[in-house]
Formats: sequence, structure tokens, C-alpha cells
Amino acid sequence: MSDRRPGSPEEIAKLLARFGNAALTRARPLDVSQLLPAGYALDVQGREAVIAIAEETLDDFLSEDGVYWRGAELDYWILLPNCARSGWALKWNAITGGLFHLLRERLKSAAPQAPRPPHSPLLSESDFEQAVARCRKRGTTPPVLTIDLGEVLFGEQRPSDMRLSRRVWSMIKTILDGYFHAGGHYVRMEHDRIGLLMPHLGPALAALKRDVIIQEIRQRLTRQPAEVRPAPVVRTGGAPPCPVSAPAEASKEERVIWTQTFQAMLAALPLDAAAVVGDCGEAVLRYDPVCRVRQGLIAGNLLRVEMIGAQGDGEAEANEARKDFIALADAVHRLQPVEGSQERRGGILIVPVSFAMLDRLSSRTLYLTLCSQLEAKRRNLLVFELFSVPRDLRSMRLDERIRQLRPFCRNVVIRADLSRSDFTQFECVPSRLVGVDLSLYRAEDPVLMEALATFGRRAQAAGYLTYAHGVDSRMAAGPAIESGFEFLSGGAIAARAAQPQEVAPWTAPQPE
Amino acid sequence: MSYFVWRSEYSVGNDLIDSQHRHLLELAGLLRRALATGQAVSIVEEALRALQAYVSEHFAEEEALFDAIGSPASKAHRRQHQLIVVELEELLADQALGYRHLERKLVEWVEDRLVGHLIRDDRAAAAKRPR
Repeated sequence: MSDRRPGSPEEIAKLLARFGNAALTRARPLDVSQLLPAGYALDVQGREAVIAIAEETLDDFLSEDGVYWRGAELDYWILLPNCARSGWALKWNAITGGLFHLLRERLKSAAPQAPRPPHSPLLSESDFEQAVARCRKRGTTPPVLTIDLGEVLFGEQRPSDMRLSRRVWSMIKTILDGYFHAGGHYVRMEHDRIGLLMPHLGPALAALKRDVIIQEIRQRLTRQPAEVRPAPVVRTGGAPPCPVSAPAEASKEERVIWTQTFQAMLAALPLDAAAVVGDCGEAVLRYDPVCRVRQGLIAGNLLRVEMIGAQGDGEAEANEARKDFIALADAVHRLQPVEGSQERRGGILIVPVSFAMLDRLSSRTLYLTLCSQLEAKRRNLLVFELFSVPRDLRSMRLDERIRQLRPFCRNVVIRADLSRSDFTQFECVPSRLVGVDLSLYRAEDPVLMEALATFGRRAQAAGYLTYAHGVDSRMAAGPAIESGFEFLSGGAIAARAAQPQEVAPWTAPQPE
Repeated sequence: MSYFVWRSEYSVGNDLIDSQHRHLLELAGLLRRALATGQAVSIVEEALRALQAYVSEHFAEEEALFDAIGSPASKAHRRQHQLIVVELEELLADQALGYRHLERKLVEWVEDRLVGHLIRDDRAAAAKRPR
């Protein structure tokens, strides 16, 4: 018999009186702790819960022809005095199986998290060396970098007798703990140097992280701003000084109306609170002729607005909104027939519109009001190209925005990123036309062409027609045509112009 | 300073998951720094791959946890994770293609998508337990 301690002497005496020696020789041990869910914490409460479940199960299975008693901890003894050997096995399996499932069912919702030792980022020098050695044993060469606090705080004029006060070290330690909370270690070394071990990062990224830490230490201790970004100029009221040139052919009166319209529109833009007018720059409008490949025809023009002198991404959204309005205002102006003149023969005008602008109620209202200025019969010449649709936007919301644009245009198309691999979000787009703008990418032509072909293949397989803007080289044009793109524009198709080009026959460029 | 600061309101009430979320934001911050300071393409790529690797590791742990506590949200949650992984792959492709607005796209992705996921989906999944 094992060294397990059976039940109390009273229990044993009762069992012996009832079943004779069989009570001890035929009883089988059951270690319930072996049946517990992984990671279950056996504290006092946890043990009581397990005991309750185990005894409920054993009561259930042994109510008619068996007995059990508890030994030490979670060890139970089970006796089936009238059961043959084959019946024993069946009964045993039923008990352990039932208990196994019941423990999981009852304990999983209350299962405490698997205990993990708290991560201690700060190590002693010897522990740090061991941590480095452990990384090397695992076959990785971890980047170990150092920070010289004297150099960080004083540069080359480091005092020779520099010593960090406890308060300063405490601040530095707080910063370092924050950066190493999830892994990695640091050590305080002689001469106020700090060693950093970042086993999960490559050398370049580790160096970048060290720079971030240095910057934060310097900022906290010397109270210098970490990074000086140009302060935005917050509009304080009135029309922003954003000069937009009227079309060359406009009369003097038209120019005045033009300028006033733009100023009124820009003033009404929802550039609230954090919005900036800043260096608004000057808007320059250009037109890329768009070719319909199958028909060999310049079918229309893509309107492009460039903000000369505008700042970068910091105020990107405000700039995009401005460009949206400028483009629309130009389109409305151009598509309206001039009184007394013949109908214009220009093709469709494609006007980019950013989703962020369209999604804000105030700017959308203004935008759609401006759209409504266009005569109904001219709206057939206007195509909206919706871009920067958030990747996780629900189709229903996209559908809603498109529906709001539809009454004012011929169609709405979607510009996606070249890396797009899934098109289910665009199922609601009635035109079934999606495309890309290659001018937004810097990669070499062969790389772009491969990506373009992949994009075309995926989109077409999903049932979409495709277009590509910014096809600037002949080398790119050929594969784009071969890949089945329906519409193309860019330098290789036709030169960008200051005025929209008329509908005209077009010949595919020959590859260089 | 890290570009994407972890805030206490992002907490899902589980120290392990919170710690991993902090690390995710830190990696995204390193990536943004690499872009903002004009680091070499190889460094940007290394940062993106580190983020991608950690996202996969974290999602696996998080899914195991939500399964363990029997969260009924786990199926929908897995779907969200799959989408985020796809989006990260697209970011990597954008980087390889030299996308000019990668920094802006990254910021939008982290602030809207990743943090949105932490606040909305993770907290909801952590809060839902079977009766």
C-alpha cells in the first residue's frame, strides 16, 4: 500500500466493520489534483471549491454501491466492495471522466489567472550578465546598449564629480521601468551608465528605443521639450487668407465672386478647436486626362489640387478638406454652361473627395449644398472619387455616404491603397469601380507594376472594374493595360494640363 | 516620449493583457519614430515586422485567455484579430511600395483601429462572461 494517509481512525474502523479487510486492500486512490484545469490556483478557497465538486461527484456515482473517504489534501480513496474487476474499470472511468469535466465547467469561470512571476526590469550587474548569457544560450545575440547619464544630462561638459541624487535616480528608474515593463532588462553600472538589454528587438530598433529613452530622460530632468514641432496657428475668426486663383478665362467680376466664394467656404469649414489654417499655401489646379482603355478614348479629366507651400501631415486632414472644397468649387464652376454660349464638349470630371471630410456632418452639409448648385442636367458629367475610406469602416456607413453623394453626380468610385487585399468593404459601391493612385508610391516601376497587377487581379476577381491614376512611365502603362485596367491616367497616358482636355481618341503608348 | 501613450482607460482589467497592450503601443511608437525621423527603410521594415510579430503573439495569448474565461465574444473577437493581422500585412506592403503617407496611415491605424480595438473589443470581451 502506498504511504498515503487514509481517513480518520473512526472512518477506518467503520469500514473494516462493514467490509472487512477488503476495505483496505481493494480501495483505489484518486488524486483529484491531477484532474484540475491547468493553472488553477489551489489556495484555501480554491481547495474548498475542489473538495465540494469532488464530493458531489463521488456522492452521485457511489450512492448505491460504494464508499469513499478523503485522505490528505485532495487524495480520495474509493471502494466498490461488490464490483467485479471489469465493472471496476467502467465505474472508475465514469467517475474520473465526470469529475474532470465538472471541475472544468465549474472552475473555469472562476479560474484565477495563471500566476506569473512579476517582471523585474532592474537587475544587479551579475544578474544582468546572466540574463545576457541566457539569451546567448538560446542562440540569439541580444543588443546590449548603454546610456551614459553624464553625457545625456551635461553633454561634453560633464562634471568630473557628478553623482546622481536618489531623487534623480528614482525619476530615471521610473522612466526605465515604464519602457521595460513588458520585457527586457536594465542595469545601473559604474560611472552613472545604464546597460540596456532588449532581447525582443533587433539592433536598429533597440538603438531607436534607446534614443527615445534618452530623449525622455533629458526632457524630464532638464525640462526641455522632447521634440519641437511647429506650433499650429489656431484660427481666431474671419476668413483665412488662402489665395486661390480664379480660372484664367474668368472675368473681373467672376474673379471677385470666385474669391468671395472660396473665402466664405473656407471660413465655414469645420476647422474647430485644434484646427489650423496656418500655412495654407496656394492652391494650384491641374487636370489629368483619363483614358478609357477599351474604347481608346480620353473620356474625362481627373482634377488634382496641389497646395503649394502647405505644411505636411500635421494638418493633413484640414488640408484635405480644403482641397476637397476647392476641387468641388472648380468643378461646379466648370461644368455650368456659360450663358449664351454653346454647350461644353468636355468629358466627365473626376473630383476627389476625402472620406473624413464627408463623414463630418458640418462639412458634409456644406459640401452637399455646394454640390446642389450644379444644374441637374450637368451632374451627369461629375464623378466623385472617394478616398481614405477607413479600413474598418462598416459597409453600411460607406453606403450611407455614397447615397448622399449620388443625387449630385454620375457615379462614385473608390480609391483604395495599392496594398489592398480584401474588397468586401466596397460591396455597396454601385459603380463597382475601384482604383489606385500610383503617384502616392515611391517604389521602382517593376515593383509597382507587380503590385498593380496583383491589385487588379484581386479586385477583378471580386467583381470590380479597376482604374489607375499616376501612370507616369510607359514601362508602367503596358502592364496596366494588360492587367485589364479600365481607366488610366498619368504622364504616360496624356500630359497633365492647366485646363481639362476635350473628349478625344487616344492611342495606347508603346512600351519603351 | 513614446508617440502612442498607454492610458489607464485602455485597461481591460487583466495585468498580463494590459502589459502586452502597452508593449504594442510602444512598438507602434517606435515605428512611427522611425518614419518621422527618416530612418533607413530597413529600420522601418524591422519596426513593422517587430510589431507584426508581437501582434500575432499577443493575439494568440489573448484568444487563449478569452477562451479560458469562456467569453462568448471570442468568435467575433478572433475575426477582428484576423482583420487586424491582414491590415498589418497591408501596411507592410505599403512600406515596401514606398507609400508616401505611411506615417499618417500608421497614426490613423493605431489611433482608430488598434486603440479602438483595445478599448471597444478587448474590454467588451473581457467583461463578458457566461452566466
